[in-house]
Amino acid sequence: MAGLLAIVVALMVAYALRHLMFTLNRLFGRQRHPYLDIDVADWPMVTVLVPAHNEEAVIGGCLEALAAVDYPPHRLKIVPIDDRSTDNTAEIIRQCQARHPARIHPFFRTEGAGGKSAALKDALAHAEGEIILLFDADYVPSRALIKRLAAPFFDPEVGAVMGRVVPSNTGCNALTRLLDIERSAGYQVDQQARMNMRLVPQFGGTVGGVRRIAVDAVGGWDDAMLTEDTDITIRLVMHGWKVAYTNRSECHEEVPQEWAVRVQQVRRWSRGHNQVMLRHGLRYLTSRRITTRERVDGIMLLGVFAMPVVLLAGWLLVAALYFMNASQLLLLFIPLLILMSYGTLGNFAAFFEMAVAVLLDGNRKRIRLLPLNLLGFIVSLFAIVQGFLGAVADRITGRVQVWDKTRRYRLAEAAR
Amino acid sequence: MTGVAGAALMLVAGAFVMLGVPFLPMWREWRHPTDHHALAVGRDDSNDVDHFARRLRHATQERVAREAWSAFPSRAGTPDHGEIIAAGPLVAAVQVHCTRPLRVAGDFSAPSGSTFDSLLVDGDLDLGTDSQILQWARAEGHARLGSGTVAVRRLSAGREIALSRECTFERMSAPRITYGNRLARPRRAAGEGGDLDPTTLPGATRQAPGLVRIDGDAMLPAGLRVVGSLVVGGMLHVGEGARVCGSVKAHRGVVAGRGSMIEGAVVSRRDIHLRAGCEIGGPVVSEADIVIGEDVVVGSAGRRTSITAESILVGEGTVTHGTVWAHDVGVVWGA
Repeated sequence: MAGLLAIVVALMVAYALRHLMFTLNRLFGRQRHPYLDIDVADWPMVTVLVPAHNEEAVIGGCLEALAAVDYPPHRLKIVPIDDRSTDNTAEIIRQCQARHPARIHPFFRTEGAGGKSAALKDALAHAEGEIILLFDADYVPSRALIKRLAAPFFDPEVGAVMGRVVPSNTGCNALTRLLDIERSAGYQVDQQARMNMRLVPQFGGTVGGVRRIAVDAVGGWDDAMLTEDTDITIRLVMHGWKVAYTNRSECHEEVPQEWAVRVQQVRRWSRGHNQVMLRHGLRYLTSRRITTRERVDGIMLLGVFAMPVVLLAGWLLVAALYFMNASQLLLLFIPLLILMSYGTLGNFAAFFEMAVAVLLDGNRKRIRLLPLNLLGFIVSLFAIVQGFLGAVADRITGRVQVWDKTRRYRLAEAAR
Repeated sequence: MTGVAGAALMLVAGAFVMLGVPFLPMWREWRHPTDHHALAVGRDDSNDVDHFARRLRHATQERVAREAWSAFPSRAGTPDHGEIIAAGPLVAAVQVHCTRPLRVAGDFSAPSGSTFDSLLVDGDLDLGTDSQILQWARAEGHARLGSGTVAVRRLSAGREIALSRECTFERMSAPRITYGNRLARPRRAAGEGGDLDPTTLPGATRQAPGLVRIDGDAMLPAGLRVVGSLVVGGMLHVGEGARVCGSVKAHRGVVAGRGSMIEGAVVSRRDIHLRAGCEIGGPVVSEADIVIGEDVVVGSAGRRTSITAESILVGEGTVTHGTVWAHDVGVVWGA
């Protein structure tokens, strides 16, 4: 048991070092933005897919923003995907199409498997050109965003690109403020550091895009996956493609405003992420198309939503060793147990990352909320464990995933 | 025992206090938020090279109609504040040192050694040798810079930028940018020697339709044509007169030989060398430096593109179309 505990601690230390490295790289390392300066080009044909299921509150704003972007009109096609909505989503889409008939070409999906991944797979038949960009319906892109997301695809090795997601409802309540800090750390430090160090930035399924031939070459979208973004990231990277992260490609999104919604979201992420790990982990480790650093970082990325399970296992092991009176062994591990305390309360490196991210964004006083992130961490811990167990059960039983979307909060758009 | 119990109690109490201290400012910020605004994401956020020029134009449009100067004051010096506006063409007879934004509603020329902070010219701009532009300059017509002129930050033109030898630049944008004296050398067609299947190259595998990956270095023989894009793990040499009908990326550098042609992008983490006479479709992106030889063409009138690197050295006779952006320094060199 002490040996198992040592393994747990070693894993915690590895993740702590990883996040510490990311933070130090953002502070002191060379920042890579190789495609940011491509402001004039023969821009490629781009199709923007916007999956929507009961999104009447937000879809209009998203489509109007997309219709107004600075991109050659004859090289841009916007395809909102109405996936059997039962509210006014379809009507709002039709109204947007009437206002922008040259740019907006809806796809009204009436059959097929449920879920975002399945909807995207069907919608690809309506896509034109090599580049497919994805936006969730609650996003409001800026005028320059499409060019910034398209620019990395001039690099023939880039298979996917990811922009930065920024919460728009930050000040709503304590939860949204905590999530804002988390998102800031995840993008401003984590993703950018992985781009700087040529590791594995993750394609997040929105505010990003893929190269069509790359997706086809690795087997296409898998509509059986709960987190199709993680799935496509891993498959692209292990077949030799790169994922580019562009920190300046920012877009507002809504974060959950209720804990129940947040727990549901985290559980889905955990279940989907671990599903990808169970399916592709070994193949990824043994891929001959990736560099050593990509191999290590990619496996750690896949393990992110398994680490809370490891942490809980560590707690149980410590308790078991205590009650078994293995005090002599415990004494040997005192320094390691101190480190376990960091892991118990939340990996110190993760909080350091959050603090630096907040400062890099030009904010200050919201760092004071960091102790409150402990609460968020505890809540997420159990949601993630639930998701992990769900993924394991799915793998064993062959159960098919059912995608549940995150609730929206913006008021319904008035019919125009 | 009492002493030990007391010490233990103090230790526990001290630990609780230390753990609890951070929660005080947390509580205050939570109950009375002072920093809770969403990160601003400008809807019209743009890194446009002409951003400042447009702003100056907007700020001075009304005054252009009212004020009319036909020449600079004979004495060097400027007003303490505000923009300087010439409502018509302007020819500076003496060296100018202007630290205020200057707008000229017509053509403008200034002699050698002149210095400008920011400059908006509605016609053509002609600067003598060894002049300096400290922030930005925009000419709606042609911008011609004498040798040794330093144009840091932004320089743009509506029609053409013509840089003489030893001009220094940072970020430029124009439909056409020429460097030094035009060299009237005949161009030979590239890729006339026949097609090469890139999968026959050592270390090559087909990664996707139209894309071949090559492990290690790669050498494309002179005069041959490759259809499709290449990703090279090492260094890529494109032989003289060879042609790539696609884009190329090489992790350890690219050398495009004399007279070669790459129709798409050229991307590398290391240096990119474009030897004399080659033609590149673009963009050209290096995370290190780009050395462009003489008489190179990047982009075209109908397909403007971008060139970006830390440092960019450009040989005489080269023509580029679009944006050239050197983060450190760009220099026009000549033999």
